[in-house]
Amino acid sequence: MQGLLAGDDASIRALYARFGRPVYSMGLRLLGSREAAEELTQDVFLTAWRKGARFDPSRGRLSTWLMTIAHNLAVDRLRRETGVTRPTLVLVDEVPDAPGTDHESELMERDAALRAIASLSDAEKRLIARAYFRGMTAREISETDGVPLGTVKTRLRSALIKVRKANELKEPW
Amino acid sequence: MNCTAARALLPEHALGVAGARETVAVERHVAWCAACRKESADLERAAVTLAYAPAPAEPAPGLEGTVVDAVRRVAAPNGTRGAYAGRARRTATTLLAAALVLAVMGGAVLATREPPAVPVVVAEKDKDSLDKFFTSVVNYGFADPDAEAALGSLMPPAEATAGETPAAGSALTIMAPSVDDQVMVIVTGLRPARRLMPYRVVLVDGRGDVVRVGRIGLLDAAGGATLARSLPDDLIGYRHVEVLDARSRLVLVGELEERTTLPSPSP
Repeated sequence: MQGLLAGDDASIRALYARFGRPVYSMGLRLLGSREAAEELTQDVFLTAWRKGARFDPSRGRLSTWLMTIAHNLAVDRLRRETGVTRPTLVLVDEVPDAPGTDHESELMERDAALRAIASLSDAEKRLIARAYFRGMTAREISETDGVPLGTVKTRLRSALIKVRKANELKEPW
Repeated sequence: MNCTAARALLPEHALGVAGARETVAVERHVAWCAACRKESADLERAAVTLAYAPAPAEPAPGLEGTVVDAVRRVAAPNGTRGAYAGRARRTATTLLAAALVLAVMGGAVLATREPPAVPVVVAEKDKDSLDKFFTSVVNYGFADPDAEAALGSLMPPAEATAGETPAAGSALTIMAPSVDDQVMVIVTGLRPARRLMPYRVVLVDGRGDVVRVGRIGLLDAAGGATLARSLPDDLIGYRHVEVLDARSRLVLVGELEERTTLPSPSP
């Protein structure tokens, strides 16, 4: 992180090698175009540089911090863009060709994500998809589905707890 | 915000879809409440697991170079400012000067009022905040060269009837990447009518997102008050300041400008 803050070339490249592809992949899924995903990736690393001094490794992993920045920026953009067709979400895509060793940690993270999603019921998958990948608020989901707001919030919490428990014994966090 | 209300918002907060106001309220609460902080951290870790669910996609080969160049540009001490053009680094002297200018601006407003000015009386509950604010300003200067300041005057809106609202004020925000951002607002000439109080101070960014700074429920003899707050929000971009009365009528409004050089604090 110190290298990033100092603008050190090797440090930035190392961080990009670790997180560039996951950030881009998430941007592509949420925003629906390569151009938007590339802009998001650039914004994420600039934001990481800007907020880097606030990162406290004792309070959480770098991956959690950085991917949360990425998701928040993507959702902000998604919610700003009105009239733009949101990508149709397919939570569990086909796993692409076996990645090389450079992407081993990314593959493990994806395994954890797929394991977590598999632990959810179909209704919970749809709920999480709408909130996390389409940026819909609980109120919007409530109004769309005609389900009481409190119920949506309770179900979102239950789904997140399931996601957490699915990897509880496996994750180093 | 109490724990029940916070818990109800934590899932949306973790999923990144809570509104700006809810986010501010939740983050304030979890900074104070250890139990909710743990719940929040658990839910956030769960949510970030989902970030890896989309099928991996290969970015264009040139993206790495673009990212590296962009970060190097903004990180270079004397480099071009790229995406963060205009965000100049601040020094201790500049930040302290900003705070002093604000204080003098507030004092100058009071000094021109009739009847003769009285010293600014800070509401008791705000004294601690004010002390913390100036402590932060001092600490920023020495600890965080990346801190920035934005400063501006507050005036009655154009539609206010002439002579009806002799109110005025000043506002300052200080943004630093290492600690919570700070905002300080000094007002004077507010009417102490019960039906108008408490007054509310908000910051608004270019997208219309609002950060509530606080309420003014106690005025001195000149209708003045000082509000100083430490906020968990990133206040970059929050340049529009509004003071509203209890009926949500705009009383004071102003735009903050980033300051690279500050005028002399002399009147």
